[in-house]
Amino acid sequence: MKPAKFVLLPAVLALSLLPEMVFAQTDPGVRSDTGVNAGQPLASVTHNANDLAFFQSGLAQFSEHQTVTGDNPGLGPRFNMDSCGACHSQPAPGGTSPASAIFPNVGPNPQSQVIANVIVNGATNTIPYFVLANGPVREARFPFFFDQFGFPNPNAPNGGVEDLFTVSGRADAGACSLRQPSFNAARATNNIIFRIPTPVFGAGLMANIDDSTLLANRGAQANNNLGISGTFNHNGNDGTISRFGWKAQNKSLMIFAGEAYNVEMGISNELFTQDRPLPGEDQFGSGLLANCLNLAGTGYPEDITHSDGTSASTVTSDVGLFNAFMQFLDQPTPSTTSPGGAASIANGRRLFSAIGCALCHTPSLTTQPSKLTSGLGNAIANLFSDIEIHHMGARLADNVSQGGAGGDQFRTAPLWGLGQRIFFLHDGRCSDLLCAIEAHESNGGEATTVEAVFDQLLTPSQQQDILNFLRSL
Amino acid sequence: MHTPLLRSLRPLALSAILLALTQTAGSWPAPQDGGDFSQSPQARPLPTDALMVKGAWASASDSVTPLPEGGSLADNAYTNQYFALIYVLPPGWTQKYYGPPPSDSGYYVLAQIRPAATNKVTGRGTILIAAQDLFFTLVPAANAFEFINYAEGKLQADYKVERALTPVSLMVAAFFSAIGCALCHTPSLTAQIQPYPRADHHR
Repeated sequence: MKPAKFVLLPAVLALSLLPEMVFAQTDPGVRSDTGVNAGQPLASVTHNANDLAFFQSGLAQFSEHQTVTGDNPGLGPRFNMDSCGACHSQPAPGGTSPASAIFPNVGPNPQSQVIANVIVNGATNTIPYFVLANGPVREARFPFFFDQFGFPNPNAPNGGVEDLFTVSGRADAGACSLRQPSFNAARATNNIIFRIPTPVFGAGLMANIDDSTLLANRGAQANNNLGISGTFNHNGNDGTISRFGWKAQNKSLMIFAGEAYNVEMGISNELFTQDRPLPGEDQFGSGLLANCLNLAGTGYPEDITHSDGTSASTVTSDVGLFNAFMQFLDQPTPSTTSPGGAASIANGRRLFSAIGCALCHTPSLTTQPSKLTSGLGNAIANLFSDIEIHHMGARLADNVSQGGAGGDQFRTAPLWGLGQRIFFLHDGRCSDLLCAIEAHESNGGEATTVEAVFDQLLTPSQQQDILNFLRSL
Repeated sequence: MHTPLLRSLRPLALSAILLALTQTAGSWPAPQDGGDFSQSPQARPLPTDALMVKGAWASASDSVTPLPEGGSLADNAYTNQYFALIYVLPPGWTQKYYGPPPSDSGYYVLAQIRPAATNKVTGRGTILIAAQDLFFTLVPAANAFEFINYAEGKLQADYKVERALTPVSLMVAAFFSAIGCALCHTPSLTAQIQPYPRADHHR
């Protein structure tokens, strides 16, 4: 047997005799002086009437509010919100959690308004404690199932989405009577984690990066001396690299859309064909109650391809239109001057690479040829992600495994559009960039050394340059 | 850009030491065939009752056999039996956070050391001690010399090689190199250490 052969890599990354620096740098906040710089279709889409019609139909469907019965049926019986666009709205449809007091003032957290807007019945639903009007849109998961005593059982991993609301009590929900999950009990036992919506600007470009490009990028970063060594999450069906979602658990935008339609809104579709019970109801119970099934009265799946449609966009299923909308969304446009001026942004970009942030947040990758539209082919995707999953350590770990991603592994969050995002990290715990950067330092995390370099080696002015650069994206 | 702070950091900052522990000679050929080894003369069947695990994992579960990731910090030194390594720390430095688990590509973060919060004497900085299992590495390198040579060839624009990769002799066969960047200097040392007498020592 061939013995192991190692290279040892002790690295003294800095040694300074200078006194402690004063940290005076600040997050410039959501960029508001350049207008909304995301949400537009690719230029090649606008030049093709058919593609543009698809995009616009997708946008309309993305923004539509679903009901249990009626014109837009299928909502529930459990759901987190009644519309894609309600949660993916900052700073434009396709984005992430909005706020009413922050540019472009989209509105309060829509989940906080579901009773006021008569999306749920206030007699049968309450707003969970973690949903705040000025907080992020959230989905909740219980990392572990509860035992018969109401304690989390570490031998029974869960991690599935616990939908926040039920249709019970709505006029169009019939006799379906469901209770919300026990979020307060989960909080009391520290058995609850959160996720916020991922923005999908530029998602078509991300979908069109070949695996070989990702692998080559991984190889090029492998010898970094900074503690970074990621891997990929892979699709269980064909073994290729998956890339969407906080843990890169979804292979394609179509799957991403179908899964979200079912999980977040409770609408079965041609990819996910059954109404979804809670994980506990599915694993240890008897599934959904009979009087909560087929509430739309249409049979299953509730969203289908329409053979009686009269045009491409009316034949296509909702999920297909969501997919088209996301595929054709252009990447956000960064600013070269705001905030902080061109020199600061340029220096911040340089420092971002020099200290090792770009080892994971890869500034750009080139797409493969595209049959969908020319704008997706051989294009530069300035995503600032390697699409790898990395150990982020105990501070960020959520103890939820998805595919090949373990409890503390997360996909490198793409940073394009960061300048106009309000909430950061997978659970939206931070609304200040410095908070998000600090969270990269943790027991078991790959980014600890890079974060320490940011903290300890850069001057406040240099740190400010990096913050300005990030808010320019 | 060179601020006064950066200029003052220059003589002291960013050094990297690369030590190579070579227990055997030769290297496994990188697969070029998409993972189909059916035509490889070196292909061997799995041993009976083998258990395949994902990524690089500890090769032993007893408490006697040293593991690569089994080092510890004590008495102002990092000690690792597996690598026969003792790394004496600057006074007042400690490990605030332990590193991630070994990666799929055989990369081990062994220790991350920095001045203790109470240490106001030696300033700021961080020491990263890591190891790379060359069997799993994504870098096209069969030994420490090729490893550091590859690193120099992939330097970002902010970095430059200030001294050519040069073999030097310490108590063991060694290679020395120095790399600099706009932020600070990065002298690097790569050394091949023989913990046991071997005939292929200078291969």
